Amino acid sequence: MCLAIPARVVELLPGDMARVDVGGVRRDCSLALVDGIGVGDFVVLHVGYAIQRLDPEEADRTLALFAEAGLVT
Amino acid sequence: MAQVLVGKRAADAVAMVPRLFTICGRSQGVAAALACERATEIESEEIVRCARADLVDAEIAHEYLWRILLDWPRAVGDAGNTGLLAAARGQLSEALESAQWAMGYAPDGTVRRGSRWGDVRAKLRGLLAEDMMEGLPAALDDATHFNAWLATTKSSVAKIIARFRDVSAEMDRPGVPLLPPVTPEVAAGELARRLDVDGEFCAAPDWDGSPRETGARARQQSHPLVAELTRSLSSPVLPRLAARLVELAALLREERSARVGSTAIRPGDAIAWVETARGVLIHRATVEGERIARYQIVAPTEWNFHPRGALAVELEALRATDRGTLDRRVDLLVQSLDPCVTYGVEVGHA
Repeated sequence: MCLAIPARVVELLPGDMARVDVGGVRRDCSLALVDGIGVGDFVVLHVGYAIQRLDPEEADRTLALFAEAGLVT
Repeated sequence: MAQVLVGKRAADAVAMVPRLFTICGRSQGVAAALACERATEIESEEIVRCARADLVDAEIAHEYLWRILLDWPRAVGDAGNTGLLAAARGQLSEALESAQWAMGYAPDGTVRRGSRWGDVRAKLRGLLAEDMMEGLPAALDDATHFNAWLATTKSSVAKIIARFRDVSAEMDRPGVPLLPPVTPEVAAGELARRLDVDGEFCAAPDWDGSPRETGARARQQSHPLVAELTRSLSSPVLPRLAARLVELAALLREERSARVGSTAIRPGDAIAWVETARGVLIHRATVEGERIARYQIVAPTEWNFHPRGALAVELEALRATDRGTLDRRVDLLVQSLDPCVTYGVEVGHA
């Protein structure tokens, strides 16, 4: 199933792209489907796209759940 | 993942579930609410049921538009239409937010408000009319109209689907049987029994001894167009795409499509099901006191991507004389079944 591990934006890249940190792993994603994302924001990713912005508290709660499930450290 | 819910209060577990899943969060949340409410003998009001149905419908529309505007074009080498998808997502997010209040366990009636899904559907019809939906839904009546539409329309979707048809025409028809609809009798009977005794069922489900295909083609198997394409074509790829178009066109007309249900197995123990974009999603909740004692989820992807399921048997039957053709056919096949995660293809030489 498609787990919604929150990804933190660490750098904005040219071409409406961003570099994000997902549980310590860096990857690049497209920002074409969400508006107004900046460095430090948390997003949910799907097949290379950011599809939803999370507020920081919600991201923290979700990350705690994934940590409890042993899926992130 | 369902294990993380064990020990939580039912209300907290229902609130957590939608946050755990990316693209099917609402369907997962509705399934969790239905299972936990049924297990604790809470009957939801009509307005709650309607708002939840709107959430499931809007999420299905979102998934189908993503397939049609991005994934299908890319599978045949086109760029896709990110701009139109972004515009449609803007509309859909309004509908989803307006019904969000109905997501939790026994939602508070004082915060209820009308869902905007009806207005959003009208706006989506306008947004998609010219480029994508031209000629629909009339072209979905039967195979004659459908083939004429593929041959003559200006619709970008028709051009993409025509290429799926051409590539899949060379593919064989192995397939697996279609999963029948979940009913309260099936859920309380055989489904409950399998969830009780079969430790592998959640990860690798089968039915009557055979892996099954779930999703739009299974739901629409009696639709005249889908039935005719299934009978006449050598591959289930095109019928799967046509079934999604049938459902999207119905969703964008005023038709209610959400198919959800729940049933008690025994006191404190219940099963809920939600028909999602990828097929049937099943949640089973056992609640003791206020807390979750057992939680099971059977996701649609586990049926279609079962080790002996639809993808596996159709991949085994694929033949191609060169790598490029093989890659194209694999992409079409995978896209027709719609995995919920990124996939990669590796080819080994025997």
